[in-house]
Amino acid sequence: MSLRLDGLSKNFGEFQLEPVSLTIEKGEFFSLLGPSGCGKTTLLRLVGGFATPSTGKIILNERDITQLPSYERSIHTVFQRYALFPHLNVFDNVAFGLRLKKLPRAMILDKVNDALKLVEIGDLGTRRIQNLSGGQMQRVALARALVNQPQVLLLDEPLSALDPALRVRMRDELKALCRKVGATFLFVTHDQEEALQLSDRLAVFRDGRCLQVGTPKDIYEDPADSFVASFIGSTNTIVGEIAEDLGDFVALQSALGNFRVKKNGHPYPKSISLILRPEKMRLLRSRAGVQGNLVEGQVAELSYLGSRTEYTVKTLDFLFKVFEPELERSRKRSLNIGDKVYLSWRPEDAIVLGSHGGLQH
Amino acid sequence: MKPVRNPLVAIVFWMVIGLLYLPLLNLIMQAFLVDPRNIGSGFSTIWLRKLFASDAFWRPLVTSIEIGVLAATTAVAVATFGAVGLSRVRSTLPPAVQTLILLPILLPEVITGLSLLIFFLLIRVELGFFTVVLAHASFSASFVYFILVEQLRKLDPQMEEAAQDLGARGSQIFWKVTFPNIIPGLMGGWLLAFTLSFDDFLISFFTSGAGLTTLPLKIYSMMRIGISPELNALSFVMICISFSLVITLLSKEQGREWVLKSS
Repeated sequence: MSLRLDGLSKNFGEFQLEPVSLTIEKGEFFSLLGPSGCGKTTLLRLVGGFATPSTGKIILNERDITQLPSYERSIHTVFQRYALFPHLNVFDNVAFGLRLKKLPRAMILDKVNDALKLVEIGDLGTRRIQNLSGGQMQRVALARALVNQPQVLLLDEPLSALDPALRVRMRDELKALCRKVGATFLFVTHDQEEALQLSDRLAVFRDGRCLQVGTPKDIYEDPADSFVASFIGSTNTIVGEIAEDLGDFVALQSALGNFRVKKNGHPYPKSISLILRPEKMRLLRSRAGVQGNLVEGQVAELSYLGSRTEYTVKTLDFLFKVFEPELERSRKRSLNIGDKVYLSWRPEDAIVLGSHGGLQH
Repeated sequence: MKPVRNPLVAIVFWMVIGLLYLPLLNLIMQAFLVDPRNIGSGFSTIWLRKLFASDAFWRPLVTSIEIGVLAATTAVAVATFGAVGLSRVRSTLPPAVQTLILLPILLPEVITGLSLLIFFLLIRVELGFFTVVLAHASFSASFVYFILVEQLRKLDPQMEEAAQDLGARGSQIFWKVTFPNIIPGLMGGWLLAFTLSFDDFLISFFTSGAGLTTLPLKIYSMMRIGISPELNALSFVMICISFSLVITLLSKEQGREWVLKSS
């Protein structure tokens, strides 16, 4: 019971989605993440049957559905701007698919009411679409698709039209909904935070290519290349050359000094990039007693964000972003712009990439 | 911003309104005067009653309504096919086609009427009721087309995909989703086409042949004999019908948009 994409590609002439092969498990919340124009929506449309692939196959539960028209696939879609039918009320919108299947009236009534209850709008059945809020329209769109009991639910940036507070709340609900109905959710988004929070696994796309597939943790902590690293989360990048082998470590020589880099079992190229996440560095007030990787700098900017404080630290021409958790900040001397500070990190907390694009693992 | 108050604007405005409506008001008044040439003769509905009692009024009225209903229905059907069909191939169709459809609107009516007349004679169709219906349908279809194109443009293109996603196929998509959402446009378009047909004189004049009389043609033929109290009464009735049609049209969003845009 899974959705398998086998070398699926689409050629539009000016735009090309390069062959993608993915296996998505039943009940999995899988996201396609990338900037606009990266091919994620194209892939979703291929799976939904709104476009025909140039090459490759779509296999749902061991059955090749590549040639099936969209109305015969057990796949339903929540569209970006919901695409609700304005001439029908909420109930009739949700009943649309069931009526086309000519189910008995009583059954339609039950199923629609269950679907409306599932998305917590059980009392809105007779409401007109024009009188719904954005969040309610979102729920109707979900109910309209889910009432048909799809094996795969496609979601095309469904949260992008909502205001920020609602968007965050709907994330939790979507995830819970996926667990509850047991369908596979294929979710398209350009919002990395959304993808990290929601997905069991995700695929990162850029320029029509799938760059990496993995769990949010895999992708955050072990990005395939510098694009993935910088698209998901903030990064500080130090470029340098390997100078010396130190047993378990190598010495990296850079404009900011020499640093220890942990080996990962594969030979490094001569020239590498060290990617440091802002939350994986410590901001020290003094260098006394500190060993290991250390950079001296000055606080250039700081923003207090409640749970953490974000600092910009300037060293030579280089600006580091560093996050200090509130628990740590509150126990230490407060910093002001211009104060001298030290940045330190453990070698194993740095991500190592070949300086040109990705490093093969 | 504070509106600039210029007395000249008000003067010009009332002059224009006067120019537009004084002759009409005069006509309406005369329709109710016992002696149209003498204001002192007193007001009465005698001419209206006389008009309503005569066959010479009812026959053309019924003809005009019949032609209007048939022409408007034909125009809406043709325009719907065109607008829905062309909206499907919007991306590949050059704007030249739009211009081709727009052209009949811009052409002088005399030319449209004359060309239709010559065409009907060429294909040896006897002039009469059906040639007028065809002629009216053909020139009003352009107007209806533009109302529908506008309405279709406002529809979410993903709506048809959503219907397909939920299991609708082929014509089901049109009848269950597209059609119900363009009904206001269809109604507005029908009403506009009916109004155009009902008010039309020139094209009817060219394509009606002998024996067929619409209301505007009746007014014209009565006028050739001379201005009579009955003519004033008939014109008054015509004004009432046209105004109520236009007001119904304006009360609909699509109609209002179209009228404002074309004026």
